Amino acid sequence: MRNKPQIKNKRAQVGETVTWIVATVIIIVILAISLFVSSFYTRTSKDLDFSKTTDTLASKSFFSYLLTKDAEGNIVYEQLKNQENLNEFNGNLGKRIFLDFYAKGYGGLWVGIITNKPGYLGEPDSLKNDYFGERPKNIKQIESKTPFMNPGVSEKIKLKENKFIELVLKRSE
Amino acid sequence: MISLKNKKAAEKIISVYWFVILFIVAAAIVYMTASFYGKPYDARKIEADLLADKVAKCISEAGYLNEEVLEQQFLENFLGNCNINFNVEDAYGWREQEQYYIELNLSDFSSGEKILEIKEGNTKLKSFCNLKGDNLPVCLERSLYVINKDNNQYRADILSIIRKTEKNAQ
Repeated sequence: MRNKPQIKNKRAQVGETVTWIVATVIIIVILAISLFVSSFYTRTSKDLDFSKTTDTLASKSFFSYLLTKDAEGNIVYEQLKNQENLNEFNGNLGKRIFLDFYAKGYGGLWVGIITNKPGYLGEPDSLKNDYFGERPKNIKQIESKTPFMNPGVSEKIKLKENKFIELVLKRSE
Repeated sequence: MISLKNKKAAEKIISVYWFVILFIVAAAIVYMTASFYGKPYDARKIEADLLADKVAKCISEAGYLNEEVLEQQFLENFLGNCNINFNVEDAYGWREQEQYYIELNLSDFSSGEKILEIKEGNTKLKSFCNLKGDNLPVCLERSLYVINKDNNQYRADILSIIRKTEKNAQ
């Protein structure tokens, strides 16, 4: 009769010790995971690779592209202004310039005609073409130059009322 | 009396244990914070991009090739004419070893025939471009399409390299 309470106490002590050991192990494991994650994160993400809102070289190439003359002496800008969509000359030239030079650094690239009212900030109406296909989705006409939230670079030049030629460089996701 | 003594001893052990845990947690937080904020931000990609932009602005104006670029007199002082200087702060011995390198290759867009080559800065940095590692210079290769007034088409390849590893990479 005397021994019974002593055994109960011992069992209680053992149980409590196991709880503390398990708790300690859990704390150590959580800390180890946190340390590993933080050290991995700092190893990979300290580059200040800002979301660019402009690409100087691409826009300069774009201007030169629009000024390039075909065999008849018509510049690309005039061709696009007077025609419905990209033609064989300016389509292939655009492909040679932009896909060769800039596709590598971006997730998507498109050159084509967009038609919408001035000041419209949503997804513009675009014409599919044989050289760059369809305009990438989720690229609004970037009016506010806000870094970090910027999904890509959009350079557009007015051809006539509600008609623009646009270069879209979509950021890699 | 005996049970009271036991309780006090157990409480002491637990409080020591809590202090140890508290110390471990605090040390881990300090380590994580120090490892995050102690590592410098690497701004060299942006700097290399800006350097390439500067060269592009110098050779292409309003869509046309700046014809002066093809003149020997312009090339002799390319950095000055393009408003570029390679000055750096006097730290880590940077003044003794140049921290920048620019290379410009202008070629015919159709044939690929080389028309012009300009190399400025620390030429030794170029040898690091194909290597992989943390403490290496940042290399950036970019291309530009440009025409002249006679509708001759050119391709300009710009290579900009920034060293500055001491401040940007650890």
